[in-house]
Formats: sequence, C-alpha cells, structure tokens
Amino acid sequence: MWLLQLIPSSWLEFAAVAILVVGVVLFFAGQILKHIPFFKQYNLPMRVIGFILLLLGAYFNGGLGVELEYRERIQEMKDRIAIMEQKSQEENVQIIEKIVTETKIVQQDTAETTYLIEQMKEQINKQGCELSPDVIELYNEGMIGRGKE
Amino acid sequence: MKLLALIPILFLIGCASTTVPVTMNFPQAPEPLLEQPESLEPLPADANQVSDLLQNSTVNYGKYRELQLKFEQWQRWYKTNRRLHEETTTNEQ
Repeated sequence: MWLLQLIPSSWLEFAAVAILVVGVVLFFAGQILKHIPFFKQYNLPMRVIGFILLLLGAYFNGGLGVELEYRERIQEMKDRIAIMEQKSQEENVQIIEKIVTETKIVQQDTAETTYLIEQMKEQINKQGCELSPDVIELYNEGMIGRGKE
Repeated sequence: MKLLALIPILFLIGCASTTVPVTMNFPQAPEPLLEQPESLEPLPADANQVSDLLQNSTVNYGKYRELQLKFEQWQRWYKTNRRLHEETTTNEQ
C-alpha cells in the first residue's frame, strides 16, 4: 500500500471509481446482452472481466477512503512535528544564551574574588596559620574522593 | 449473482489495510550541555597558606556554579522537550 503514497489523491479517486463503473457496466451488460445473438459469444468473458473489475473497484474504493484519511492525518502529524522541532530549536538557542551569559558572570565573580584574596593575602595569612601536608591531603580527599585519583 | 456478496467484504478489507509512516526524530540537545564537566582542582602540595586554600575553594566553587547552571538547563531542556512531545502526540488519533 505504501506505493499508493506516491500517486496523487485525485488520480487514485478517478481510478477507483473508473474501475468500479467499468466493472458494473461490463457485468450487467453481459447479463443483459446474453440474449442478443451477436453479443452472446462475448457474454461470459464480459461478465467474468466485469465481475473481477467490480471486486477490484470495491476493494480500491474501500481502501481509498482510508488512504485519503491517513494522508490527511500524516500531513497533520508532520506539521505538528515541524512545529515541535522549531520550538525545541528555539528553546535550545535560549538555553545556550543563558549558559553563555551566566557562565561569564560566574567566571567574572570568581576572578573578582580571587583578585580580592590576592590583594588581601598578607592580611589573611597574618594569623600565622599554616596548612600542614595532612590538611592539604584531607582537603583534596574531601574534594576528589578517596577512591579516585 | 451470489458472488456479488463478495463486494462489500472486499470493500471492508480494503479499508483495513493501511499503515501510517510518520517518524519523529529525537531532539538534539544544545552543545554546551554535552561537554565534559571540568574536574575540581586539588590544592597543590606546596600551598601552605590559608589564602591558597581560599583561592582554591573559590575557583572550585566557580566550577560548581557553572556545573549547577548546566544541570538546571538540562532539566529545563528535558521538561520543555517532554512537554512538546506530549503536545505533539497526545491528540494523535
């Protein structure tokens, strides 16, 4: 049925109705004309072909209604997905902008604070409290974790 | 003429044989959220002053705040895309 996706809807509608109409005409013509001598010899092929076309026409007309409805729904779904992708993209742009802007602020804050610490270095270290290697090791362990290099 | 009874049956079979070939791509996350997080900086072994400890803590707090920001944006990204996905698929018949 996926091949039907490639054929325009109007063509499909025309083909389905045409097959059904030709089938009906052939089938009933075969029934009616069987009493006329000239047409008598074509009676059976006409009815057989008419009947086959009638069945095909009925099948295609049944499938066509669903096919057209599905096409409409597929298009609707594609439109919705396109809108969703666009909104998602817009959100991504906003997220990137926020990250870039606020990361700059954080880095600026850090730089300002480290500058102040550097300026106040003597004042801070005046108390004479020195860090022993054990303290440094403990501090690093607390930060990185004991099981991690 | 009895064979004509097949016509409505075939009509209904034709109705039931269609599939919907629509697929949705997984949304792409913003590039900054996919970067590897920075590791915290350990205190150098020769740093024996309180000011060194303060410097190191400040730099690491900064890294934490950057990571916190990205984490919050991850949550925002997930919530938004989940909502958009639900809006797109909820009314699907």
